[in-house]
This record gives sequence, structure tokens and C-alpha cells, in this order.
Amino acid sequence: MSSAFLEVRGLSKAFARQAVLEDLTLDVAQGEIVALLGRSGSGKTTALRLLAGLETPDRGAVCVAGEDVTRRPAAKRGVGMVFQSYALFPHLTIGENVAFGLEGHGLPRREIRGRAEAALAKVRLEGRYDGRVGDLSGGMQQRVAIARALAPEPRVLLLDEPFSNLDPELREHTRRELRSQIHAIGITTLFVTHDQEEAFDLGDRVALLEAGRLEQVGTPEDLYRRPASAAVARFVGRASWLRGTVSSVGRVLAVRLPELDVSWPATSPVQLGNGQAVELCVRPEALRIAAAGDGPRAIIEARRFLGAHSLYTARLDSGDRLEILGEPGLELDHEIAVSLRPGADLPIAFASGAES
Amino acid sequence: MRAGRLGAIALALLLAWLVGYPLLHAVREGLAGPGTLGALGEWARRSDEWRALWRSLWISLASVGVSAALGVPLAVFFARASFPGRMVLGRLLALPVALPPLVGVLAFLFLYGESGFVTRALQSALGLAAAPWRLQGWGAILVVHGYSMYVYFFLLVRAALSRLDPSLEEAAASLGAGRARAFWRVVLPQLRPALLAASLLTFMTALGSFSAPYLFGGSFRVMTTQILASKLNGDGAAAAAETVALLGLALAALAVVRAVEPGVPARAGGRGVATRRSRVAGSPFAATAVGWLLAVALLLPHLSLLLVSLVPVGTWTAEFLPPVLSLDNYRRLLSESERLRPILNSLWMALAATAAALVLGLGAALAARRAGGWLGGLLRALLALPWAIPGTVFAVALASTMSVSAPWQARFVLVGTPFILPLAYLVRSLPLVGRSAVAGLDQIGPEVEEAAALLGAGPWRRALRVVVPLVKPALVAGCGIAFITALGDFVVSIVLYTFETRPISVEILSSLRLQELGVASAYGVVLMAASAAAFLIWGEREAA
Repeated sequence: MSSAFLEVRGLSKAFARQAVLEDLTLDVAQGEIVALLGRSGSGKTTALRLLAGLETPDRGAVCVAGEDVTRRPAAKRGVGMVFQSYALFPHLTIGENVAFGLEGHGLPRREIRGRAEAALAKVRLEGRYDGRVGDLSGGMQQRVAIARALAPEPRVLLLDEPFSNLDPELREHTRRELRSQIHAIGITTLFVTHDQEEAFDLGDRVALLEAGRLEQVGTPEDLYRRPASAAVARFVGRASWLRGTVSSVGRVLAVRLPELDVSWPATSPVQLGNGQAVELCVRPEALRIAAAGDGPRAIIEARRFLGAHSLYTARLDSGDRLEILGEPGLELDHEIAVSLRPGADLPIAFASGAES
Repeated sequence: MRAGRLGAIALALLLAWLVGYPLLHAVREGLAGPGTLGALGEWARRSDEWRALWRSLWISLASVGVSAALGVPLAVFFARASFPGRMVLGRLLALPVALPPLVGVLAFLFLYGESGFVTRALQSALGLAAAPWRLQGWGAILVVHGYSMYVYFFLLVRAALSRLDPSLEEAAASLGAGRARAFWRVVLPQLRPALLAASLLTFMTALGSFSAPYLFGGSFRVMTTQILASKLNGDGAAAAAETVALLGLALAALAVVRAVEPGVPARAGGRGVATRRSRVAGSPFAATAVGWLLAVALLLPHLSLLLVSLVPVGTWTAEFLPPVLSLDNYRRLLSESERLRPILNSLWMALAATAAALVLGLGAALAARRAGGWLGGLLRALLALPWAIPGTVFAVALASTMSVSAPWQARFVLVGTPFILPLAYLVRSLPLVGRSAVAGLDQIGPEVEEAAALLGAGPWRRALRVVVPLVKPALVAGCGIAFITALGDFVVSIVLYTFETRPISVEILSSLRLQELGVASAYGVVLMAASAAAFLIWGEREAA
């Protein structure tokens, strides 16, 4: 991808001989927002710190606008960062915090102050230049941190769990606001999160990291509908898993499910052979509740009311459980039959044992 | 990066020369001479030496007991009771720790000494022919120690109590524990680190204590007074051996406590969270009365010092209260150049030592933070080491190391020059300033510096614009305590002073010997006022 503004090539880092990040390769287009999604310990924060120049990679390279910045110290990299704790300087005023990155370039004082005030105005904190950082609410502190990171006009913006210190009711609103602000400036942005809703809402694309490795990069829809690995399918969204064997190959596979005594059609991200043991990932909306006799028998064991739909957990005769999205109103212990919903995405087959 | 590491190594070498080298030299001297262990072996064969060591040990342990018995109940009272004036009283109660030990001793002398106010009042009230007691021997030493060292228990335990989560006691109550059981099973175990830290502080302070044994001990010799006596008798070998023995005792005590509680003496204090102060059982008037009575009792010695300082020399003989009061003594302090000189000496030497300690302590703390690893650990250890060394030990070690010109051994003749006292004060100040700097730096998360780096600030700008301003409050407090410690120093000064550089404390002693009680008191009040002002301005938080 030659249009990449931020290029990450084979970035690796180990701490105390323990690989934390292995061979991360990622291209980010100018103005794009990419979420680094993963559990704690997946290496996402290390990736961010390597991009910022706060850690030195063992191998690999980082290029910004075609320029290799791998060996450049943080202070000279032109990368803005918003820390999880915001890391505002408690001894400086709100405005002085924002002006900090503008100093040391020979700009006249008046100009620095003007630009800091403009940056504050962009995050709706005009007139707060002389206020104390400690007097601000968490949401306002986050806005100061963003204004401070953006004021020196960095080429890349990095955010580490930007919403984790905010009240839940504030998060969605703040996310929208941040998204429109980033798009208005057009700055290339990477942010780290463990929350897929956050990643899907703010990210144009999502990079999913698991145990230090990049599993998949793509749009939220790609990750949900076309997961590249069982790990991605497990991490993103809800799913039920069934064991089976491939009984015919082609554009669409047929997978024999001995415990249900049926064959279901399926797709797969990789080539699978006839007779291969697989795990089948079935999304709740890909199933439907049919009249008894019209498919494998199951008993409704639990239900959760979601408004327009209910999410049912049904226990098969084999003891396996399936999650099914259906019309509300079915009682517990009700006997049903399960079948694939026509027109929905097909189940996805992954070779078993490839990932536990 | 490389330059930074070289700087850190240079700092470590300088600190090692200042702090560790004299001690090593003293140990070498203690082991020199005939026999397998040299002077130390000779020392070990003398029963009077063992007696002094034993006395140092038990007096220090007893001081811990007395101080705890006073300080812990006070801490509980002030942490839990609510009454008017609690804040002011709390600060007043912390005051004795900031006052120079010699001033405290002097004040006790005027209050409870043979011709002290209380003694005379009792004597005339009971119609006794002689004073009802003599302020002498181990009892007097213990009283003075308890009076100044309870503050460690008071401050540390009070801080620990205020940090205690009140819901713990509530949980204990909900599980059926009464107040006593809740205190014993829940509160006390939480106070353990604070109690241990206060015990160690008290023990080390008592072990190094010099003023009280020197003025009240008489024939009751402890190690510190024994060392000075040997030195004044010109018995260098004995002084060296005694120095090594006391050093060994101090380090052994430190090792024992650290084995019990590895974190000690790293700060047991810190910021408290909000606490609920219950009204103590009984009326708030009782609490108020108790609080204020205590304050008066604790301030009485200093008030008597103030009173004596207003008595012109030769005007007060047999009366119960002095007949004439004037500012005559203070006028003499300021107008007679030979009397003004010790004040100026103490001021410039304390200032110079504090300034140097600030530069060295902050520099070493910053270098330790940047370097990390073994080098960082070494720098921190060197900064903290003088804290564990009794002042007499260090002074004698420094005197013997720096009385010979041997530049290839990094030894220079400094004894007898104006440099030796500021140098000694500097080393004694290092742990106070260094610990403030280290503790202050530890409070700054790495992301604050990282944020500054990402905003384009290089190492110098990060240090000057971000790190130093953030540690400034802690540093100011540390420097304040270091300054008043140097200003009122007696233990080191008595070993190393020259007539030209004599500090206030030495002059107090000679005024006392000349029976110029008023002048001695006036010096004491000057020290007291300067120390109290510095202490109240910079806060008691860093004192313990």
C-alpha cells in the first residue's frame, strides 16, 4: 500500500526475554483512525509506546510520511500522545500545559499563548487558560490532554485507552466528539483499547492483537463477518462453537455435525480439505428457532430480553449450548428445533486444534 | 545518555568519598595496632567499655519504650478526637523534634534542674533543705529523650491512623468485634509499619544522642560521651575502637529492623485520606482541656528558657522569680562582635551546607532515577547512609581522615580549617535532602516525563520545567529540616570546631560554664525561634 502515511514494518519487542510484540506490520493511511484492540497483555500498549519512541524496538521499523523515524527520540518524532492517566503537569495551568509543546521553537510568547488558546477553544475550554488542572472534571482533563497533544500539530496522534477514565455515560458522547474532531483536522490516529464497542465506534479500521501478534486488520464489519482466525471470531461479538468434519469442499463447504446429526453449509477464511476436523463458529443471528421437528431438538435454558429481540441459550441433546437471537416471548424449558436462518451469513469453519 | 551515566558515576564517587570513605578509614584505624584485632581487640578486653556499650543499648531501648508510651496514646487521641484547636496543638506537639537537642537539654535544666523553676517551687512548698531531686544520670537522660523523641511515634502513628480505611473498623464491628478487639485485631496490625519505623527512628536517634548524656550523664557514660572523652584525652586508638563499636551497633540495629520489616525505614508517612473523627467518649471540654494541658506541659521548658534569657547576668540569686527582666542579653549578643560571631558562623555554615546538600542530593536523586539499576541503587544507598551513622562516629571518623595531607589517598588537611564543619554538616544533611528528593521523584509517574518528551522537551528542559517544580515542595521541606539541624548542631560541632568557626551550640556550652545563664538562654532562644519558624513554615511532614 503506497498510500500509507504511517508504515509499521515487522516491529518486535521483548521484555526480559519475553516477547511482548512480535512482527507487527501495519499501514495507516493519512487521516485514518485505527484502533489497536486486544486484551491486557496483548502488546497493544507496547506497540503504541514503540510508535511514540518511548521504547526502542528490538527489530523492525516505523516510517512516517516515507521517513524512517525508528531511531528518533520521542522528543523529536513529531508524534502527539494522550496518556491513559492524561499525565497533565499538575504545577502548570491549563493553558501552560497546552503551551508546553509550543515552547522551545523560538516562537514569540504572544503567538504561543494565542495558539494555546485556540487549541483550548477547539476542545470547548475557551477562557480556561489560567485555570488549575486539578479543578477540572475527568472529561475536561481529557480535553486538555487532547488539546495539549494536538497544539504542536503532530503528524500522528496516539491515544492510550482514551476513555477508560471517563464515566460510562460520558464515553459515547466523548467518542463522537473526538471522532469528528480528528476527522476535521485530518490527523492520522492510532488508539489503544480493550473495548470492542469503542474500537468499532471510533476506528475506521481495527487491528486486533492477541498475545503480541496481529491477528487481523480490517473494518469492524470485516472482523465480525469475515474473521481471519478463530481467535478473532472468539474475541469479536458473540458466537456458539460446534465440532464437526468437512464433508464436501467447494465455494461453500458442507460441515457434518455428528452431535446435531445434520450437515450445515459454511465458509472458511482458509482452504480446508475433505474430512478435516473443524470448529464451527455460529453467530446468534445466523440461527433461528423453528417449529419442533424442523431440525435438531433443543431446550431453552436461559433468555435475555434485548428489546426487539431476545437472546436465548438453548441446550442441545448432546449437551452443547447454542445462543440464538429470536422473537421475545418463549418460555424457559420450552422445546424447540434449531436451524440456520435463511439469508444470514453462513457459519465459519476453522481447522480444529489450530487455536485452542 | 552516555554523558548522563558518566555524571552519575562521578556523583557516586564524590558521595562515596564524602560519606563512606571516612567510615572505612575509621574502621581501618580501629583495627590497626598490635594484636589480632588491633585497638578493637584491646577495647574488647576492657569492662568499662562494655559497660558503656551496654548502657548505650539499653538507654536507646528504654527511650523507644518511653517515647512510645507517650507518643502512641497522643497519636490516637489526636487522630480520633475532635476538639477546638486540634490542628494548632497537633503542630505544637510535633515541635520538639525540630528543636536542637542542646536547646531542649538547656530548657530542662532551667525547669527541672537543681535550681530550676519547678524544683525550687517544690523545695519551698515542701520546706525542704535541698532540692527534691537531681537532674542527673540515666533518669534525666530518659526524660529528655522521651520528651523529644515521642514526636516520631506521634507523627508516624497519627499519619498511619489517618490513612486507615474507617470501613475496616466498621466491618470488624459488623462482625461482632467490640472496640477493644477491633483495635487489637484490626487497627494495631495496620499500624505495625509505622510503629516499627518510629521505633527505629527513636532507637537510632537515642543511640547517637549526645547532648543529654553529655550534660546530664555525669559519670554515667554512654558510647557517644565515651568517644569524646577518649578523644579529648588524646587516646586516638581507644576513640577509633569505640567509634567502630558504636558504628557496628548502629548498623546491626538497622539490619535487625530491616530483617523484620524490609520496607523500613522507607517512608512510613504519606498523604492521608479523609477520616471521620468521632467525638471521644465524655465531653468535648474534657478533650479540649487534656489537649491544652499537654501543650502547656510540653511548652513549659521552652517558656522557662525564654524567661531566663531575659534575666541580665548577675541580677538573679535567691528569689523564686527573677527580679529584673530586660533585653540586655540579646543586646549583648548583637552588639559584642565576639558574641555575634557564633550566630554568624552557624548561619553561614548551615546555609552553605544546605545549599551544597541541595545540589548534591537533588543531583544524585535525579541521576539515580535516570540511571536505575545498580548505579541508581548505589546512589540512593549513599544518600541514605549518613542517617544510620551516629553523629559522633562520623565526626571522629572525619577528624581522623581529614587531618593528614595525603592527596593520593584522597585525604586532605581540613581539620582546623573553616571547611571542616560545613563539610560535616553537609554529610549530615544529605539524607534529609536526599530522601525528600527521592520520595518526591518517586511520586512522579513516568508518563509525566514521557508526555513532556513527546511534546519536544529534551532532558534538561524536562528536568527544569517538569520534574524539579514537582519535587519543589518536598525539597523545600527537606532543606528546611536540614538547615535547622545544621544550625543547631552540637554533636558534630563539639568534635570539629575551631575557635574561629565555633557555632552557637558550642558558645552556649561555654556561656553555661561561665555561669552566664542568661546569655546561654538567649542563644538558645535564637536557635529555638529560628528552628520553630522554619519548622512551622515548612511543615512537620518531613520531620519524621
